Amino acid sequence: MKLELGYIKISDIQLSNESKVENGVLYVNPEDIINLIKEDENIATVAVDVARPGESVRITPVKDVIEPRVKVEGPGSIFPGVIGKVNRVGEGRTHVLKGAAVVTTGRIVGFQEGIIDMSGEGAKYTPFSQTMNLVVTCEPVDGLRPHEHEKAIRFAGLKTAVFLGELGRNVEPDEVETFETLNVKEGIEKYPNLPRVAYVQMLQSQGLMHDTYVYGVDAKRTLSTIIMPTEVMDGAILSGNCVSSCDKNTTYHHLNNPVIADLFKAHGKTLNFAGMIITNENVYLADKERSSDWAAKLCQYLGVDGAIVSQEGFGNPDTDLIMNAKKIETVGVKTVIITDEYAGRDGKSQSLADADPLANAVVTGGNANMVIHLPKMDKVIGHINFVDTIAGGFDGSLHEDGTIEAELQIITGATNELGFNKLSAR
Amino acid sequence: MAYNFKIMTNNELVFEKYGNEYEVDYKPGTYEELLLRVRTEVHNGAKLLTHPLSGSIKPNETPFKTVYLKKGKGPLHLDFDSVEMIENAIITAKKFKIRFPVMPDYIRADFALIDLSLMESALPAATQA
Repeated sequence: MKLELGYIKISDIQLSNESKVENGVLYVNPEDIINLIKEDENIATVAVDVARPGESVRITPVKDVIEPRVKVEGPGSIFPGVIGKVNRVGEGRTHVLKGAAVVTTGRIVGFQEGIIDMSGEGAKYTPFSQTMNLVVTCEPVDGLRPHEHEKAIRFAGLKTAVFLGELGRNVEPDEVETFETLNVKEGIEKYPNLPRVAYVQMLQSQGLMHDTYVYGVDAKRTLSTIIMPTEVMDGAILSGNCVSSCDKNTTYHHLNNPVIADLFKAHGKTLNFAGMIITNENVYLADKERSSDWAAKLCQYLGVDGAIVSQEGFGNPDTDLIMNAKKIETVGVKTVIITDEYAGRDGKSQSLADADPLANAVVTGGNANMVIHLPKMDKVIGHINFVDTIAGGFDGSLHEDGTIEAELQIITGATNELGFNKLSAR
Repeated sequence: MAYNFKIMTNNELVFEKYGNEYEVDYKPGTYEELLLRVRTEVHNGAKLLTHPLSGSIKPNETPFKTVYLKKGKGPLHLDFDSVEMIENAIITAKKFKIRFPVMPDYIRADFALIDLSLMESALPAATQA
């Protein structure tokens, strides 16, 4: 299966009376976005803003971040089973508005989380301070229940990203990159001497604001399965997860999964990227046992030498992570796990809620309990009053002068467990 | 129908919605007090059916927690995996300092709703087991 990604480099976003991509600038008519989102009668008001790297802007609470993409050749369309029809994606050619992102905000629950600062101390910790962001703030109609509210905002972001992606359909990309996954037989024949490595991605799947969708299916209702890495680049996996901002995977993270990117870079040189397995993180312990059994079984069946296992979230997913590592090691496959840490403010506490001697190769995304100080920003998009009540903030964390003292976990993507961040430890 | 699980919670919303249908052991109290009550049950042989740290909301944020247990046969029939898991959960919960000594009612209600949703995501598995 072969996919070409054509990167159209976006150097700026400008609000305009016509939506188009021209000379690397994404022009957006806010009315186009507002009309599109208000097709959903659950949304009462929509505001559209632009946030650029280096500006004194704070976006909060962040619901999701999405990269605009469009399928220009091959079957299916972006976000299959959700925005596009259920049709297999991952082949042909996809255009990407590289450097641009859609950021959705909105108060779904009172303790909503996630900050993106476009400058200052906080900007160092989130990758989305480096993207040109079209920020969409939606307010629901009165009385909308949180389940429907979450869905409405999830779809508002996806629809906006698909609309913007479509503007790049007929634009010549600045750069084209090709990704190819061979079938098992071809892979072994082509690279007989390279170690075969699988990627096991764990997906958050526990309930309201803790969900992930695969081809439109709620991941908690799935068994561990095999997916093509190029399917993920076309939006086969998307985020309905808006809790624990530092270590949730936004839809942008899924589209740009760095584990996939790095395995493709090493493919054919130091290893043979043999395939990708997705597995869920359910609440029920028997589900955890079943899903990790299946992840290990699929690794064994693929006959790989090693597996990289990435986690999503905090606390009970540590148990899924350790089950996966232990069981995959037990079938004779070496593992490396990617996680983050809640090691206390001094970094001295036990980092994970679970452990096992077989999980002996760990990559960390950083300590989410680390205390940071954020300066006042000139402009806030969203709802700053919620800072006191979002993950990582604490009572009194929002000071009268507009500065914030909080734990790192307040920042969207700060300790990402796919490694889409700058923190780690050696 | 008699089920072989029980639900322990400090979330009134769970008790109100499911108290008539299932065995719901509801007692108001803190998150940590609920974990300690669960530990007592585990010490009496109960087996954990859901993870005591379910959800990505930290123990010092949400005041609510709901846990499913399989009823035990007494302290001579300990489930050691459950003992280890509840002890680790208590250690983790103690690591976080309580953030909201006074919480606005609307935020409490949201936390209760999320806990209910996490609890409901395990219900099909529990009732079919």
